[in-house]
Amino acid sequence: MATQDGPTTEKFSFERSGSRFSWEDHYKPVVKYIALGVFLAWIMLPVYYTGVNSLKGPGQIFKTAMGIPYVTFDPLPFGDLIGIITGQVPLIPEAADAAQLSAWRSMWDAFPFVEYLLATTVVSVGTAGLATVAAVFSAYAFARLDFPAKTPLFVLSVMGFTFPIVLLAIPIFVLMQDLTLLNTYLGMILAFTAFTLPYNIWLLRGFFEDLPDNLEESARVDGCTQIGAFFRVILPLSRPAIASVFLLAFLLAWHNFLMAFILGNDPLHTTLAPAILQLRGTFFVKNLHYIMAGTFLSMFVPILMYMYLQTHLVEGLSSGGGVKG
Amino acid sequence: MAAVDQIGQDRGGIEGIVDSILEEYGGVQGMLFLVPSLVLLAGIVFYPMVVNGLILSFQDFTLNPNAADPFVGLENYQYWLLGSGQALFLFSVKVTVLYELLVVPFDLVVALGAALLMNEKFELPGLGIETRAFWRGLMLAGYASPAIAAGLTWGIMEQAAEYGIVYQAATMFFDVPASGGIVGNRPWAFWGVVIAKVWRDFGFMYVVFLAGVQSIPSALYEISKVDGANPIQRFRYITLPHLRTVIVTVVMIRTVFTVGKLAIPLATTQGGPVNYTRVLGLVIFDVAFGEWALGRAAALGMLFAVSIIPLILIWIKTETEDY
Repeated sequence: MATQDGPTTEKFSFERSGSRFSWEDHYKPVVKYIALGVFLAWIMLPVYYTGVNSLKGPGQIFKTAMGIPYVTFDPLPFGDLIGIITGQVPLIPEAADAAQLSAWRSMWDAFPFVEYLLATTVVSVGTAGLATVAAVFSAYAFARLDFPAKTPLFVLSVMGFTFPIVLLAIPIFVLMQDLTLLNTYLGMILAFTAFTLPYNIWLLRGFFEDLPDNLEESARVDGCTQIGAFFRVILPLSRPAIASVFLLAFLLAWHNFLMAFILGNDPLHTTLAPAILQLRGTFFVKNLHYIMAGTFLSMFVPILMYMYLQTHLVEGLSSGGGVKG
Repeated sequence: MAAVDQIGQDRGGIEGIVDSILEEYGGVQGMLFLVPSLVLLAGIVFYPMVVNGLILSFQDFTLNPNAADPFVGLENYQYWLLGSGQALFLFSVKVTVLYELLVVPFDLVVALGAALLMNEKFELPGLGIETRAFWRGLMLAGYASPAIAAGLTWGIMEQAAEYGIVYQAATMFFDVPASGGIVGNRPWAFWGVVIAKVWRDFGFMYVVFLAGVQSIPSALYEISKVDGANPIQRFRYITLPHLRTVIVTVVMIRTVFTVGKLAIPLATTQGGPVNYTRVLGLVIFDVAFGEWALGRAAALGMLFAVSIIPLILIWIKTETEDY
């Protein structure tokens, strides 16, 4: 073996299949798991931190911020199992009430969280629906049809997304005030559409461009009308892309702080993001666990959605516009 | 072709009517598809931007709907460029530029690292179950969180207190003052915001890079291994050249889209200490919805818009050049 290693192998002889330690076989598996661990520790830190601390009382947060919450309910002794089956012992013992879920429960009382969640969901779904339906048509036109002034119209259409939201916020606030749409779902949905619609047009245009060129022609030869080709061939083919664009718009609305902050100020008409910032103002330090619970909830729902979405998302985002490699 | 049109006419109903309109107007037909979104955008972007935004910046605007808002000419612009707002304006421009210059490279490195890592296989030893999809999803936890939630959590972790775990960890290596912690002291607050920002934002680049890395033919790596290239050389001569266009595009997009964001500095440090992390977007926000000087804020917004037009033009050029 030593003779084979010759003069070319000084530094990287471990690459050779015959050598004792190869990068591929020995170092890489270890290094990649360590790297994964470090990455995940950093990424999950805020999620873990808010998650565990939301289940603690303030005293316990100050004692051990990173510790697992101290849970006070007694595990069911095995003897009770028969009692549960026969119905003599209640399934959830009274002691479970003492569990440190109290942070969450008293927050429901102290802070109108259900209302915020409801408003956030209504506004996010409304925005995503409006923005997606409108975007499907114009993205299709920009990607696959020819008409005069196409480029200027496209630039106009995506303009709202390229300008920072804070620049749109002031005019939109004045507009909504003039229309008396402050503190209404309609006002928020319209305002959120101002930046989600351009984003959706941009993403969907990239997707439609990637579809094969002759789809419509084949459909028309088979007897579809032009509109029919769009509804019967293109739309069914792009259902996954439309679904992921819908969800991305939903999340964009869920994440947005600025528009929601300026357009609504009562619990039913503003979203979670400004609500948790308000929590800091109302409750800080003394009731840190409320902030933790609120923040954790606002993170948790989108994280679950992204986990579910992530394969579609890679396609959706990377097919968008200029991101094609 | 005539036969095809004939079939189209025969279908009747709404579809047939719409279609005959399309046929009649030839080249304009594509524009019909734009009607819904253009109507929406005209109402909620163009009209307010021009009528409210531009005109507002020349007015002394009050919230009272009955009071007339007097035109004050260029006074609002003068306030920022020459008057008493000049110091804050210039400082926040500096902060914004520095912030972008720090965040973008960090984002890039972290996202590229994550994408390369997540391109590996993660089989559970012995069981043969591939766990990669799960880790890939978890990598997006930051990007999935609202920026406000991210900033708030990092801000709390960076406080000088028993629960400020990032502060506790930092004191082991650095001399962070105990009064104010990371978020309340000068050089540290900036890094505190940058960490939160990168944590929140690297997911976008990561997703794009992951798609890019996956599109590199694995045969290239096999061949290079036979030729004796080491991992670093493979990264340098195969991965990077393949990702070059993607990297350039995505850095540009990210810069254009996030330059005016304000949620993370607002939630982490509230722009403090003093104005140390007050980016331009946050100044506009504070002036508009804190002091309610909407005219002044609109003027600053217009200045901001004009200054980022070059960035937007570059982006639009790359977007439309394949037309």
